[in-house]
Amino acid sequence: MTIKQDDKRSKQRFIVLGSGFFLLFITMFFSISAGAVHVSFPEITSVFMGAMDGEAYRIIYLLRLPRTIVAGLVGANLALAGCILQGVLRNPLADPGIIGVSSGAGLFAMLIMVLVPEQTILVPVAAFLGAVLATGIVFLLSWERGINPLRMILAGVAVAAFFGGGMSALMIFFPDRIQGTVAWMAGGFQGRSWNHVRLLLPYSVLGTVGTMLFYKQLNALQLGDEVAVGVGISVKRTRVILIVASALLAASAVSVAGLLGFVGLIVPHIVRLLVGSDHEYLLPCTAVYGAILVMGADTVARTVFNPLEIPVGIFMAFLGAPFFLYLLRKGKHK
Amino acid sequence: MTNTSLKMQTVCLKYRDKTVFKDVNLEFLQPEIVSIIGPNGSGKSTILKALSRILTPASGYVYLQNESLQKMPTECVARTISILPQSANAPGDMTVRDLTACGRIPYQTLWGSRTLNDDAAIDEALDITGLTKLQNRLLNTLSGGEKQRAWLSMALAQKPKILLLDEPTTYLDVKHQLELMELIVRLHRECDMTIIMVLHDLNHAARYSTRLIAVKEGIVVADGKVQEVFTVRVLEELYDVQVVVTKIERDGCSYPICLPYTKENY
Repeated sequence: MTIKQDDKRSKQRFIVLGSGFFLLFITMFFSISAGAVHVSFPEITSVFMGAMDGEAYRIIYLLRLPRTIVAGLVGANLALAGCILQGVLRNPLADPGIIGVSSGAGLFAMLIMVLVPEQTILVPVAAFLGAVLATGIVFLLSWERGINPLRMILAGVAVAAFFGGGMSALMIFFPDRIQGTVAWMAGGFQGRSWNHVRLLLPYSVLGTVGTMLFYKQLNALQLGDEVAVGVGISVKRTRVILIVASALLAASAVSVAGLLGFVGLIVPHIVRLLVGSDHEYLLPCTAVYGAILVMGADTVARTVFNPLEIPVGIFMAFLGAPFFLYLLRKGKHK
Repeated sequence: MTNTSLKMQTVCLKYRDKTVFKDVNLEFLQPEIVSIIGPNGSGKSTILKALSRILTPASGYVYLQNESLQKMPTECVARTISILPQSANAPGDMTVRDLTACGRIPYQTLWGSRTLNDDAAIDEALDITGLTKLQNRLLNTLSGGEKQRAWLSMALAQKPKILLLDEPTTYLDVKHQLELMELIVRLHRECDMTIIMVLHDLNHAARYSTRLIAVKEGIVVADGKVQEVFTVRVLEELYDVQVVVTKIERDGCSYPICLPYTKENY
């Protein structure tokens, strides 16, 4: 009886991860094929087999593939960042917004877009710097011989309010220039290219490697600081490393895709309902499902109302929130 | 064969600016069962935290087998000392075996995963605590007593020589309290383990320990064999109550017991 139960659990984890990779592949295929111009399956395979000419090649190589990859990496980075933060801060409501990433990136991106609109090419860099700066401030405010999780959350709220005030001020003083910023705030992937992939990839790699190295530490931190010290974890150092890693993951994603909320908060929860709180499975599954969610949402958002494109952030909120509530209810009945 | 395992030398302990202990000197042997008793807020748990490096002394040293605890790599310490804090909390969707496996973290390298050695240690810890049959149950389906045993099982998977327990019997009913105390005695006898624990139940402390340490307001009031510390004089001073200390003979064994009462009649 007990052995059966164990089988069921590891089987479910295996199924969740396996079907995750399968879904990722399918979503990627649809994301490449769907759009204003439909690209058929044989055309896609021929391009991937090395055909270097024709319209299909240009559409796939210059437009669809980079956009698909950017969406996938952004989803994975955001979801991982949220998952790590929820574990480190021991707070189920933690997401990249809580350490100041979103507000910092938002204010700095807006500053560029409003004050020097001719330099929009600098938006990703500015957003990244803003995110890192805001996180740094939150860090300083919450430092008390190591990071105090509760203080960090409160400091995050305060810093977000302060930076949010800055954004509101910009909107009030430059009402004629905020049009362009609105789409960025909602988050989206229109016109994302290989440059953006290059921006994201180092952090995704860092995040994945860190994940493989630190899942045991995250599991131990879940048991509380004292137990974690007891099993030989340097709690202060580990916490700093993990928060910095998640800040970089989230900052890279936000700087490329704009303010995509929701992914970092909800995906880890959905995956936790499916595989449990063991970070050995939770982290990789979170990354895979984060990628699927954002990639899929972007595909749908740019095709359903073709030629109109809905910002993917809005679309995801409308689709994901009810689904999350459904899972919560289902989990309660079990 | 007995020798010194843990030693506190002129240790001063502080929480922020509040000094809890000044110049404490304590020595623990291998093996023994020591209970720390004293009123609320006297600093009992603080001593355990210092012994387990959760709290770094403001001055003075804690030595583990003549090496400074602060200078040893933390995972080395974790292979010798286990601690079970007072209010440990784990995600409810963890299994008993998952929790026990966390005790093997100090034996695993950054890259490595679980080995056969780890599995054997986990099996053994589950067996000692009687949880082999419950090993795949989720923690939120367990009773209080089973949960406490699951935590103990995690601590034992660390294969410690020294086990630190902070009020291990809180929230347990009488039967589970006795079972836990007997398990502790067994670990001491069969595995030569040193167990240092904070206990509120004076009768348990007297019955199962080989030595008692009484602390009050940051001062070690008494430290010695049970019959030296478990006296009317020490207990009355310690808790500020009246006490009757007596012995009960049962099946050829004698158990020291005490009955405290307040000065007012009602």
